[in-house]
Amino acid sequence: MTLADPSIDLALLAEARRDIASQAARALAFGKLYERHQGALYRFSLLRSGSADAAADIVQEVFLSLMADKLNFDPARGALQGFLFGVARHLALKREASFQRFVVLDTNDDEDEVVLVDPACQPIEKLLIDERAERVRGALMQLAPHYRDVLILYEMHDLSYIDIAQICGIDIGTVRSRLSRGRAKMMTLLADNQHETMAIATAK
Amino acid sequence: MNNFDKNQMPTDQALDRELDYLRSTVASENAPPLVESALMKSFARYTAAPINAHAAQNESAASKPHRLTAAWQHVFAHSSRWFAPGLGFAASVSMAMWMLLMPAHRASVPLASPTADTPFFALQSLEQIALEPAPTVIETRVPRMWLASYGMPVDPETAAESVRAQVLMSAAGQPLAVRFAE
Repeated sequence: MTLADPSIDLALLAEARRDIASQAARALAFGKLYERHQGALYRFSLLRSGSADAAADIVQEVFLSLMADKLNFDPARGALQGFLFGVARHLALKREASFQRFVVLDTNDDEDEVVLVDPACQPIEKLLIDERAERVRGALMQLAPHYRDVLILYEMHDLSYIDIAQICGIDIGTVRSRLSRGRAKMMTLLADNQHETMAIATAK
Repeated sequence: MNNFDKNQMPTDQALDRELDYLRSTVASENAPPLVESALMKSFARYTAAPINAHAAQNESAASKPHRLTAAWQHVFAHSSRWFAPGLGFAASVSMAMWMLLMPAHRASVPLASPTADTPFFALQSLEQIALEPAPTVIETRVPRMWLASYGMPVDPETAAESVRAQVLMSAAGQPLAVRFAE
């Protein structure tokens, strides 16, 4: 998948910021931009943070910053959607850092550290009532954040290696290795979880 | 379903199936409507801010009002607060009456606007639009390229030109629906 048509995004962004445009035209452009990107950003933030409230906060903050022109978006450096994903990821990292329960975020890929899941991150209430989806989401949340980013962007949003490299600020080789390691860890986690569930069921 | 048996190495295909399942589960998730309405309110304030700031600057540049005038302004400010709920109620009743009478009026007198035959594109849910207490229609011009994002054909040669649009706005400044005049 490619990112949303950048030319339409640029036209909408320019109109939303155009001082001489009427307020209605600016609001319409901003609303259209929001409509184009909120879904993908929300889903990314939802899986990234594991909390519907946090995801809503992140989406709101992304668009507030865009509206106030605080983000220094440069169209020459990439599409707006990729840029917004990068901002959402940064905000998610900031939230995690504030919990101070995770290990260092940008770690060496060779380290297979154990990542503690913040107890404040509740399961996505009423959204993922399906047990099977919840099991996969739970395993995803147990991944180290730098594996989780790549895995969500590639597997859930179908972004290319180049787009992911740009969003995460890493090179393509690192995207490949993180994806490979992330998938391997996901398989192990899902197998472990399955085994534990079966062991508990047998003990009962 | 047991795709991940501890004693058996799980496969990439099994993981793909699980991830596909998660993807289909979250595919319909969107940010809550409250986020959009809060953002549009902020945007309305933000776009109005330069005008207000300009007005405030003019106000401060003007000479200070006479004490008696200031006192009357104070009284007026308070009296206007007294009238505000009544005026708001009257406006709501007028809008409701207008909405009730509008279909009959529309049937007998066609709108003079050249966009009258063009349908509105709903930007919010129909339920939200119906519940909006005081919608207003504002005319504006937007880049023709926007038509593409609504699935309408756009000639690349005229994409840079603007096209007339009517926007149905909520009281909070949120666009509810739009239609374009070709």
